[in-house]
Amino acid sequence: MCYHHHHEEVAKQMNRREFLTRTSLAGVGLAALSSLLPQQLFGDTNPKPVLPHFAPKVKRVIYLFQSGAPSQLELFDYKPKLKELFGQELPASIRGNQRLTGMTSNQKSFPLAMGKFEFKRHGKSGAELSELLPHIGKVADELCFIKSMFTEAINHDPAVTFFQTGSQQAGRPSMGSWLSYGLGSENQNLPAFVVLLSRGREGDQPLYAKLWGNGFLPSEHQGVIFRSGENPVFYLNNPNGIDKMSRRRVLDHLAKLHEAQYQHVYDEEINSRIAQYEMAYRMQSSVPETLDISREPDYIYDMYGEDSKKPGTFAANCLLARRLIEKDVRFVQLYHQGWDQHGNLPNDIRHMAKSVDQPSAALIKDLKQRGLLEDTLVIWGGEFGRTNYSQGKLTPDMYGRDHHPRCFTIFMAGAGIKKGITYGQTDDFGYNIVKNPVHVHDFQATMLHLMGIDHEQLIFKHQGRRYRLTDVAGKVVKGVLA
Amino acid sequence: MSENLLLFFGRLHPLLVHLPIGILMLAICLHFLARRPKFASFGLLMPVLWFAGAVSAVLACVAGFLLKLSGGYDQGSVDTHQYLGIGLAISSVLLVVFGNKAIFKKLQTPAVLVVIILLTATGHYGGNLTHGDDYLTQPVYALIGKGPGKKERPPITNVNEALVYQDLVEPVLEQKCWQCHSSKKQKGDLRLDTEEYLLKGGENGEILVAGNADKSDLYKRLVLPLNHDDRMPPKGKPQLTEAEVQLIHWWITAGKGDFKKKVAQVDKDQNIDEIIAEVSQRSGQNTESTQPSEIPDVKVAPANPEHVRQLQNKGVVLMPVAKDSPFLTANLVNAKSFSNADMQLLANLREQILWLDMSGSTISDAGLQPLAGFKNLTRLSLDNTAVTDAGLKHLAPLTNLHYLNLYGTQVSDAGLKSLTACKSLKSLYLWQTQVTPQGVAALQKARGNGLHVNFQSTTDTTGTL
Repeated sequence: MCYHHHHEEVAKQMNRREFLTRTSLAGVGLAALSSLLPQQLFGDTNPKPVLPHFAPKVKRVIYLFQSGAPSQLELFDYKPKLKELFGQELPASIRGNQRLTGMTSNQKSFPLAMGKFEFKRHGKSGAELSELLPHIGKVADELCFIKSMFTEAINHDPAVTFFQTGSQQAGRPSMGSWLSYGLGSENQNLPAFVVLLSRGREGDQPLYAKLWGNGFLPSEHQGVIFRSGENPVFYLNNPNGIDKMSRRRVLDHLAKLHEAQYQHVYDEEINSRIAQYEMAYRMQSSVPETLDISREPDYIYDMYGEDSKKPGTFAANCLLARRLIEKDVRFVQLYHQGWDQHGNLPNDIRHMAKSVDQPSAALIKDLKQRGLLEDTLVIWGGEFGRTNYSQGKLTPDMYGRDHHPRCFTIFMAGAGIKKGITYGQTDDFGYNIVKNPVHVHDFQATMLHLMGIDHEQLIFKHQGRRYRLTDVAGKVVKGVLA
Repeated sequence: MSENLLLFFGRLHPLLVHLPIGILMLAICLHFLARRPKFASFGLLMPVLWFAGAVSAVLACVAGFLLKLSGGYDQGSVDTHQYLGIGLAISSVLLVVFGNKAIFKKLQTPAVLVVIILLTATGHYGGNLTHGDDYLTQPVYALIGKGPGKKERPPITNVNEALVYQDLVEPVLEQKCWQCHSSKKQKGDLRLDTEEYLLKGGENGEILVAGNADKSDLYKRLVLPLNHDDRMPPKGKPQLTEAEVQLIHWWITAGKGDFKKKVAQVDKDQNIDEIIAEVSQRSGQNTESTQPSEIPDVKVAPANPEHVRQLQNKGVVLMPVAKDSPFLTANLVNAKSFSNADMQLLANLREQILWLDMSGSTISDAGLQPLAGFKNLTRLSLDNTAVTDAGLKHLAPLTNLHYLNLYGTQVSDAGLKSLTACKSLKSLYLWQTQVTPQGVAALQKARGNGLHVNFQSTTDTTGTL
């Protein structure tokens, strides 16, 4: 196909509104014209959403994603019955028709397991928490525990993808991308959607860039990873021998070329490309300034714990998250890897809990003292729960737990959320939800609701279908709203 | 076997009824037409039509009776319909039998009139049975702008401020009880549509024992077995949900059956928050509710685009608080060079700006002076600025301010005194200021419990919040 022919093809497909904007009609008042004509006549498939739909409670979100799925039974959802029935078989009536992963489906026996972890009630709200989370216990009155989360996926990748994009299959935009697209960034020098990664132990489930991908949304809405260490954002710094002025001139010239190409093919992605180059240029100064934690006072490091001085730890990332939120970044997505404890759970979970307990609590306290908890939402949780029976051999001190999608616990804190409550309930076996189930789409709908967005109205049309974060489901969980 | 056969025939009733309606209507029309000489020949048809009408009316009656035996209909309404239907069948049979006798000629037209009335009434009551008795009237009332009994209810914006009876209980009664117990009907001599009637009770006496739901008929009958004769709503009618039943129990017991109390004034038991959430959601009033009440209920003109543009040129981020709202949020996070002089530009939007975030900006005391005119301002962040006590004086006239962040400023106890005038203030952040615990205590004392002051020592890393 010759270039000319290709050009005609593109021109045929191009968006009529963009065409009008770029041609002389724009001069005679497109705004007036577009108010006279129905939008459909312009063939504008994705008009810029006018958001928020209603006044938001939350302006920014920090999502402390616990990748690998922490066991709700050792941390949040206390089940003394499991101690009583230790080693006995999981009753068929409780299991029902639950499918199992390939890791335990061949097991001959499903012995109920529970270690020697003590649970204690905390604060005025009396939230029941494991001894593994003493610091989180101290902020329990700020938290809203949802003990009745459930998901559809049973393996890590689809489950994390489901949580982040509303679909188990790859390719949809991440929730941070939806918010970036819908609400944009208030700070024009930092991306609206920032991703921070940490690891509690080696060799756990991997994460993929698709989890913070923009899917079919314009690509400037993808999450930007801030790494620890000297070079937080890849390829951001000027190469040796290139100074700031020179970089500016290169970008200006590149922008002209992009603009010319855009006039040719009217592809919106070219504008995204220009926007990304410009954002990167501004980030050359804003990122080092934002990530410079050297001036944080000692009492802050003391709050977040000793790890917070080590770049790349969960604690250091919590501190960074606070700094990004102070700069009005819309959505900060942390991932903390290491919770996938199929074996050796009693030891591993102790280690993992220690890595998150103090920093998670410190983040909430820190946001609170700065007045930021009144318009920031903090979310803490994994992609599914863990089974109440042991995977592999069960001894009083040692066992593992397999994936369990039917129930798990997450908690939230901050704007618009009831403080010091527990929502939902599981049965005595910690296997089924008996009250107020919350589906992943319900959770997503609730988060969007807090940000002033009707989840059924934030829509993007792509390849002939209209898409939402919550797909075709999701109900706002009114019981947790303040 | 025969029972099912009868039921089958009974269920043909809705089909069969249309035969007498159609045939008798035609007979009536021709009866009047045939009086004219031009149409006199129609008279020949009349005996056949009356005969067919009468036979089909009798058949419809028999089928209707069989259908009634299968139950599931409101007894009173079905009886009315039944007697009217039998009346219609009898009168049409009479017309057939005596219609042609010369001596009854004079009675013929009155008899036809009776048939018209009975036909209309039977059809109407039959329709009510299947479609509900407001099926026809509701759109008519709506047309003339009056909903019969349907109350306009403003959405609940704050559950704690909602009235237990009026906002929560009454919508349940309206939806599930008023059909039979209100101005429309008074089954059991009972009305549930006003406070007076609820207190008066019905033919079995009072229904409300304040403070004891288990002794109140209003509650007791809701939890009787579904087949019990006294069960309300009776079998076959829309039932209250579990949450609605519990709400009524809570209102009578904890709420003492009071008609004026707010949710916050009634002792809450364990689950009531969830129940309230569920009930208010179901009754459809809470759909938009969770919308924060923060948007003031005043009319404000949309911001002048020129004023918006001037501020945007300075790097101020302006966003609508909500779609189609004239109110704005303003954020100075990008406005590095924003000076006290630029405050005049901001003041152009003094009516529209609802949330103003100036944290970390170069603003100082003198720059705060124009803020006094920001009557609708609800949230103000001045943390990490050069603001001192002198600047706080300008905030006293802000009658809607409920969030004020002063952390990391040089504000001291003296400045707090000017905030006692800010009656609307709910959250105040004073971390890392010159304020002392005594100063906070004095402000708290002057302001009472409505104000939450976040003030703690920076070294306290272990304490609870």
